[in-house]
Formats: sequence, C-alpha cells, structure tokens
Amino acid sequence: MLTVDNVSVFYGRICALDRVSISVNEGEIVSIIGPNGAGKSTLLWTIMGVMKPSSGSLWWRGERLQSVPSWVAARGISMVPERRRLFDNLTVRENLLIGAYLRQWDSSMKEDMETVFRLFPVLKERLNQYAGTLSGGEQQMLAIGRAMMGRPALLLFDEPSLGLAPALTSEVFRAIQRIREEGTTCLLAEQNAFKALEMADRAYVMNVGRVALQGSGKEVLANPEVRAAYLGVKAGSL
Amino acid sequence: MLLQTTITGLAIGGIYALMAVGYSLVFSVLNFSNFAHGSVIMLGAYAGYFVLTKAGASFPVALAGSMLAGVILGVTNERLAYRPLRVRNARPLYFMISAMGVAIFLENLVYATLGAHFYSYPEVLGRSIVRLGGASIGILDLFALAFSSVAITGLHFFLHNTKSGLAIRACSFDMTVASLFGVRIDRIVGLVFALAGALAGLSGIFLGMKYMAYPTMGWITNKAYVAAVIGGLGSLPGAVIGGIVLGLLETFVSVYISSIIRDVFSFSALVLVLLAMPNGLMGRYVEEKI
Repeated sequence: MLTVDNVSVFYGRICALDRVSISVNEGEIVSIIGPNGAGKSTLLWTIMGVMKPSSGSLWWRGERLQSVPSWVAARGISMVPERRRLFDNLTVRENLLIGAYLRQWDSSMKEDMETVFRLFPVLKERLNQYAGTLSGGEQQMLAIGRAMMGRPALLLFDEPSLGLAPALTSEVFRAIQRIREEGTTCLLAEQNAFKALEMADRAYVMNVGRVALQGSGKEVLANPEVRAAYLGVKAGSL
Repeated sequence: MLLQTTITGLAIGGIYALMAVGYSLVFSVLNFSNFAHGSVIMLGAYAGYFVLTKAGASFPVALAGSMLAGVILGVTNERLAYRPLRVRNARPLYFMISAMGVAIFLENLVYATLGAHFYSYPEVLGRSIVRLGGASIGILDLFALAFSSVAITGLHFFLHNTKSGLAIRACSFDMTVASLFGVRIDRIVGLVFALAGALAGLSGIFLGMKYMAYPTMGWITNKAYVAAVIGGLGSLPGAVIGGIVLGLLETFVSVYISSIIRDVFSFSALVLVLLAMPNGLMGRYVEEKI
C-alpha cells in the first residue's frame, strides 16, 4: 500500500532521515518506535508531503507520492499530528468539517460525524465549544476524529499518547484498534513502546534517523535490546 | 451637534474599519503587515475615477470597477511579491520589506504615468444632505457607512458560512496542518488577497469621492493601520472596533477641540492602548481571531 524507499531528509545540513525504508500493507497497524529525535515525526511529515526528501522515493498504491500535502490528502492519507495541533480558534464541529475539506459536505458527512461520536461520545457534547477549551484527552479525541472525517485509507498517528493520563492512553489505543477494524490502515509513531508494539502487526525501531530493527510486533517486543532500551527491562532479567 | 458628530465619526470610522479589515485579514493568515494595501486602495480610487469619467459609467459600475481593480492588484501583488518569499519560508519581516517596496513602486508608477495632480471625482452621489433629528448628514457619509457595513458583514458571513471561509480561518491558525486535510495554501492565500483587494477597491472609491484621488493617498491608510493595531492585528472584529473608535475619536477631537491636533490624539490613543494591552483591544490568541 505504502512504500518508503531509501528516503533521506535533511534539515539544512542535519540529516534527519538516513536512507529509511519502510512499508505498510493494507489493513495493518504498523508501529514505529524510537527515542526523541530518531526521525519518527520527520518520516510522517515526509509521507504527508510537508517535508521533501532529498533522495529516495515514496510509493502509494503503485503511484509515486508527490511532496504536496493537498495531493497526498486527496489520495486518502491523513494524519493526527503530534501535540494534536487542533485549530483552537475553531469549534469542535468546525475542526471536524476541516477534516472533511476534500469531500462533498452532504448527508454521508453527517453519518461520518456520528461514527466519530460513537467512538468519542464526549465530542458530541462539546460540538460548539472552541477546540482550545477542551481538555488534553478530549483534544486528542478531536484530533483523531478530525483525521477520520476525510475517510482516509491510511491514517498516520504521531505520538497519540503524548501527555495523556494512562486511562486516556488506553482509550486512545482502543480507538486506534477500532479504526483499523473498520478498515483504515494505521501507521503509528510512538514513544510508549509497549502499547504500540503490543497491538502492532509489524513494527520498526528507529534510531538517529535510521531503521535499526524491524519485525512483527511480537518479535520486536521480544527483542532483548528493545526491552532494555525502551521498556526498561534489563536484558536477561526475564 | 452631538448626533451629527457621531454620525460623521461613524462614517469615517466605517471607512477606516473597511481598510483596517484588509490589513487584518492578510495579517491573520500571513503574519505580516501588508503596507502595499494602501497603494491598492489608492489605485482603486483611480480605477473608480477613470471608470466614472473616461467610460462615463454609472456609480454602481464604477464601484464594481474599483473593486475588480483591487482584486486584480491584490492577487497580482501576492503572486509577484509574496509568493516567492512564501515558498522559501521567509520570515514575516521580509514580507513587510517587500510590501513597502511594492507600495513605493506603485506610488511612483502613478507619478510617472498619471502625474501628481489631484483627480477630483464628479459628483455622482450629489451633495444632497439628509436631515435627521436636527443633524444634517452628507449623503456620501451615509453611503460610506452603509457600504462598509454591508461589506464587513458580508465578509463575516463568508468566513463563517462557507467552506473556503472555514479554510481561511483554519489557515489563520495553522497553515501546515490545514494543508494536511487538503486545503491548498496557494488558493487560500490568493483568496485572502482577492477579498482584501475587493475591500481596498471599495474603500478607495469612497476615499476618492471624499478626498480626491492622488498618488500619496495610500498614506491615509496609515490611520487604518493604526485602527487595526488598536483593535488587535489579525482580529477582524478588532479591526472594526478599532476603525470605529478611531473615526469617532478623530471627529470628536476635530469638532470639540481642534482639527489641527487631531492626529496627536489618534497616535496617543494607539500608544495608550498598546501600553495597556500590547495585543490590542481584541488581540490575537483570543478564541476567535478573524
């Protein structure tokens, strides 16, 4: 479905991604874990077309992905950005409408809003409230709802659990699983390695701009180095 | 006297508001003060003048003509002077310098082609005066007030009830994230300059009718800029309030104190507001900016 092939990205002279290759298949949850500065966010922004690769290529269903965000969005790829980045000056409803910007605003959109409300009932109560006045958890739900409104085929999540209480984190991860069950492929960048690996079909471990390790979610979870580095479990202690 | 002064103040305030909204609209999306806006207003005044005199058209046609000129100029201005900076992610300061360059260029273009004379509008609306409860109000002032209210209300309606309007408001908060959902930034920025240009054309023709058309008339719009800053740059309600407050203040000072020191009061008001409220009366980062 999505193939990132040998992509390098530079911020000025600093190399943020160094010949990264990953792939995402239809219907999967793929997790990318790694410490701060590993290049996870850069990878997602590059897929969305906001960052331009200096070399390498990105492929989407046999077509080369252009580095133009509106073009990428029109192909059915959407994103829940890190720290949510809602439009604080717009209401909850308007944030959801922006998510559906590329669609006809017709009755099918109403249905999709209902789908979002089934997943996150609290948003329905907050419909006419400004997004900036929501709590952190509600904001994360709205950011996910906003991205869902475009009916994406692939949804990218950048640190969806960042700054959330454990109970809310579980709720967000459950929502991601339900989104996948309803047919949307999910690519997840997370520092909360345990949860991200547990539910992933496949996973990549990134470090300083490179893919250091890849495998099925279980394999990566079982890897002693990963356990030592990200899960705080010393190699050999289990 | 009080009523008359108030209505005159409101009429002037309405035009200030119209111009200030143009500044604020661009500022809210691109974060810089578009000092070329005044030159677009000036050229809108000329466009209206020539449509009236050379083409012999009626007032509504001239109004449409100056608004169209404003739209074309605004969009061209953005294409040629700002887009190259935008694709390079330049900082707002460079946009402002570019805007000043455009203002100087357009002003001198008028000097070079049309000369420095003042073009006096023919009396399209007449000099008739409406009597209202003891006050006599010029028909031009009434028209100015009516048209600026309609234009600003229309803009508000557009921003809050259309898809493109919503996209403009989203872009004013976070352009990159808006693009993730398919909003085409070039189009939205073009649309913003078209809207600001239309308002510039409208204010240009009214300024022209009131004060004549001449190359440096764009500098009157410095007052509108002051109004936008008092209201809080980037906030449309702020621009309207700032414009009305400034218009009333100037008229009252002119009538009851002295018209010579009018500007002292305007700029003092600016300094006082900024001292007390650095973001203006309704500055950015409140809930709703535009």
